[in-house]
Amino acid sequence: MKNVQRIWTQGVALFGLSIIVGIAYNTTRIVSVPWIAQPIQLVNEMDRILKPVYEPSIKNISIDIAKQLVDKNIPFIDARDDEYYHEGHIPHAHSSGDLIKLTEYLDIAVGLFNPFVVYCSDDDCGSSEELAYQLQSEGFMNIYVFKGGWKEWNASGLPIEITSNE
Amino acid sequence: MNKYIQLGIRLIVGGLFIYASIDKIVDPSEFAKQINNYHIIPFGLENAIALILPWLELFTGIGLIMGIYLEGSTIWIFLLLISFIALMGQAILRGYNIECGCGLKEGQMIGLAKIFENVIMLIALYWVIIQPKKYFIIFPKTELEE
Repeated sequence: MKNVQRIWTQGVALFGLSIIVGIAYNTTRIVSVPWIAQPIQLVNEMDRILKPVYEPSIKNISIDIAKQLVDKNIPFIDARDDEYYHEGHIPHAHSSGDLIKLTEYLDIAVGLFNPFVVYCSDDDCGSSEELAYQLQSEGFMNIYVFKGGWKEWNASGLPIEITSNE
Repeated sequence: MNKYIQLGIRLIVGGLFIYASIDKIVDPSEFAKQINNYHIIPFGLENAIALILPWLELFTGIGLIMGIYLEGSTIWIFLLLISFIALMGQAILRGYNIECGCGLKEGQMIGLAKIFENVIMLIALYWVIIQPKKYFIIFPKTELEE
């Protein structure tokens, strides 16, 4: 009983110390991090999406907007593994593959300030957001995440494209 | 022999926890994004976790090596390892292909190898926990120490 009490006290002390130091460190940082993360904003206005953006921005889009952007030949990046990409993807979507090659492609296709879209399998997968943040750190400003991803696109009966993996 | 195995395990596991905490402390925003990719933390709490968890890893790592609050540190690391295994396991089962956010190596993805590493550490630490005699305890001094 005495041992349990001692371990409990030590555990609480270590946790308390971590909270206090975490608060102090975040308060004294030049750019402090908000304690509660804000969800990525959903954008529905096409005019707003098509305009160049000069400050880092990652926003979500719905399937209706995604479809319109495909029709307007806005680049789509498929963040899933290559094997899934080759089995089927949104028409003209580019596989994420090698980050260096992808940034070279986006540099030529859209430049740093024009929009492009990243998607993965569905709104539960993390790789589209992860890739979006990676591309943002490479300097791309105007990134949209299609949260519904491949599953929503395919389930909606929209056109798909299948490519050979050779 | 038991003494050196115990101290060796404490040094390796504690060292890994200290090392893993550094990048997370330096860039909590990046760590928060990595936590968010697991899609399991509700209410935007990934930021709060990213601001506190690395310090807990640092202090428990130091505690494990230096013998300061040794039992508390050992139990915390044990619980953290179980959480990491569960977190990665559910992500693998849900088909995620994401960075593990382990803090040991940039770009390291989740996978069975990472889970195996954590299981090995968990078993080693469990062995340390069940030893009746502990060694090199700076604070607090207890009857467990030889």
